[in-house]
Amino acid sequence: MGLEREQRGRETLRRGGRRGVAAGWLCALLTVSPGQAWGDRAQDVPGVSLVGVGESAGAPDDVAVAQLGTSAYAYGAHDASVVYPSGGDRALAFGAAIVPGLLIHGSGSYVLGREDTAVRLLILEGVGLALLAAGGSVIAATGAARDFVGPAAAVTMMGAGLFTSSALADMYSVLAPTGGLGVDPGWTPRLQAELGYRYVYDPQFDYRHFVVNRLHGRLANWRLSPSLWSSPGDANQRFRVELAYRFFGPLPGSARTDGNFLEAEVAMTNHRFPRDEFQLTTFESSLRARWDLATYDPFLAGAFLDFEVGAATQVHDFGPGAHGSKSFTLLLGGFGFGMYLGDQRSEGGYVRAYYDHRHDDFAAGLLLPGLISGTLGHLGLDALYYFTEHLGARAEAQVGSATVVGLSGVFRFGGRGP
Amino acid sequence: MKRRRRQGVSRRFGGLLVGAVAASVIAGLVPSCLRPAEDRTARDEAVGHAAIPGLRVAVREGLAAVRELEEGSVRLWASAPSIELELSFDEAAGAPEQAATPPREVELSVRNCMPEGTLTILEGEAQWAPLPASLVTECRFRVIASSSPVVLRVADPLADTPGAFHFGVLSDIQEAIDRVGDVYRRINEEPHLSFVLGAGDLTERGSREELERFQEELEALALPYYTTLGNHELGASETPYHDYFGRGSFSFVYRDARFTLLDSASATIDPRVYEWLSDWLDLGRRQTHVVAMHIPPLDPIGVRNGAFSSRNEASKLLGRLARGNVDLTLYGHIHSYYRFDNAGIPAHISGGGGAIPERFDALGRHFLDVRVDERGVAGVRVVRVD
Repeated sequence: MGLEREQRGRETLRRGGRRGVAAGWLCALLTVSPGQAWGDRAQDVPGVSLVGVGESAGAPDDVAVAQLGTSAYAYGAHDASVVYPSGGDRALAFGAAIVPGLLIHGSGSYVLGREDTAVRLLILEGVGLALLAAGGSVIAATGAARDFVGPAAAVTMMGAGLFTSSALADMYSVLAPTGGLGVDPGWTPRLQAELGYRYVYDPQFDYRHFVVNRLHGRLANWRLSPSLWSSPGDANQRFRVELAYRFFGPLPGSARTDGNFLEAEVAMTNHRFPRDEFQLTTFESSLRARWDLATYDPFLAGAFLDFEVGAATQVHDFGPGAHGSKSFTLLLGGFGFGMYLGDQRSEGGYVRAYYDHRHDDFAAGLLLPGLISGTLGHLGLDALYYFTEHLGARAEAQVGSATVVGLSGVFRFGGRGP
Repeated sequence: MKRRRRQGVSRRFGGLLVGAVAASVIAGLVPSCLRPAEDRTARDEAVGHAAIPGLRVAVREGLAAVRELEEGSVRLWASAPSIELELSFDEAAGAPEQAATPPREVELSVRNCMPEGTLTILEGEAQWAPLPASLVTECRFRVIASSSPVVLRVADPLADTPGAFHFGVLSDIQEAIDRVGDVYRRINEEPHLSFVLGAGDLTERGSREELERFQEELEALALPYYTTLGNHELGASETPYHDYFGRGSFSFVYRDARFTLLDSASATIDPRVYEWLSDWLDLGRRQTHVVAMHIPPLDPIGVRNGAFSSRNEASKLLGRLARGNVDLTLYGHIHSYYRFDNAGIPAHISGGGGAIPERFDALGRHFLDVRVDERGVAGVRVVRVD
């Protein structure tokens, strides 16, 4: 129903002209109820009433959406009988996604006539703000007291994730072609190998160049992922091994309809700094989840949110001269917003922007001027694209206390579903 | 078909373009973000140096900020119990050694001075006489120089005499500035303290008004307060801290014990400061060595991470301190009291100046009383104020 509504709204837009829409948008933002930005003009069209949107204000008609979504609005589809949003429409909606969209998430979708999407994004924002307020108020009220700060920081981080992601999702919704830039991977490979180069600029350390090896092996619900970063010129080495169990979600060889998953992970990392005579060993456990937004709203198809929360114990071996090693805990977590690229049965991948609360990897925590110092983790961008059935490339960039940029070749094998 | 193919291509490359642009933005942001303390380090190097026509002042190792320089008047804020300064008169500029010059009279005022601080002429020809001061922590002298340059030393009479002494530690006052007088009165009741060491967060945002207010309140303290800055001194659009209280990273010696204060206000230490630290560690290897900074490298409550942004850097710094035979590390930033060890070095976090406290620690405002004797750090006592 929402898609039909958008279609009608766009026809109205064509008739009314862009100036009328712009005026309606401004009025809507300032005074009127959802739907009327388009509805003012729609009322002039016999048989078209956007006020009727209210009829479906409760549960969306998922069947109708799905049916329409598989035809005119699916990824890569084009139906000549459908009036898709024009570039101008999208630009207008993107403007709304910024102002007032950065405060009222979903504004961009609203301007494009997608009221249900707008409401859903507003709900996400509300939940995010509620979590932010809950976690933040505990931290403030207790003065970041030792027994409260860990869980409160995790809740705050999740809230920040939802809040940020709902704003990004709105921008994505209005900018991306209907159906998204790609579809969820239909393939979870049994074996995925990566070999690449990373440039690490950290003013505190001399190392710069790293060779990166990663391997992901999957068997049923289990994943084993060893990786090694080594700097030939510096002898700096970071070895990590992850063991994960996927409670639900795509598995090698299985049929799948979406990218949602939840998995538990334990990992061990050993990072050696021979030049500076110390090493860090981290033991950690975490929960990781992906939420494929196509299952939340059809106009968000092709986008996904990632979440992670966990904790670690880190053993610092300070090297010669220090009296023994010492353990410190570490809060793990983060969130990301990503989008699928291409039809992944043959070629495709994803691009993902994320926040990672880690302070112990190469990028570590952000260095910010002013009052906020030391608490935040780093930001990153991760893009993977398979050009053929088996071969692809991965690009990665992170900024925290250091900058990490690099490129890898990726090989995948096995596990292709029916 | 052509249109669909075009759409597919644009979808694919649209996504990659978004990725490439975002990566470029991240990469472009980098260099300016990774050394947030670089400017402050440059300001550290300029502390203690000032000139007007006819008179130039250079405080050795930047251990005092030049607050005011006028013809015939030099006003300093000391960051150490012993400071050495060189006064040069332009007429003799360029002269290889001390050159004769018409007698020049200079009134020297040193605030935050050790009580009963005395003046010594280290180089050059000069006569001096003490002047009355309005505060116990102010030293005033009239100096009549008959050569240029002259090198003066203002120091506690016991500064070079090895022996046992006590010093206090007070940090994180911030918005509790209205009540800090209680803390100073309690410190004044400990007559054995020689001076107070500060680990930053003197103010809420570090503005000039707040720094001046801090200085006004400090007049109630009967001891000098040697401090570095904290992240709360970085909240204003400019960071005028150095104009008032001098360097953020510096090192001094008192009674054969070395004190090194580091600027960790940005949750990192600038690479240039690491170079200075190497020298200070070498110099302090055979002395009792106390290192203080605001943000600790590691937070004993790791999930909170009121600590360095990078665990890697934290471990690097602590390993260096351990190899430099540092005896004690002192931190602020966390508004409670923690005793632990890092890299085998005893560590104390004391953020008891009154800023929003960590709840449920049953402690409240406090300061530390640290005893140093010929064997090293002999004890650390927590003194409650409330």
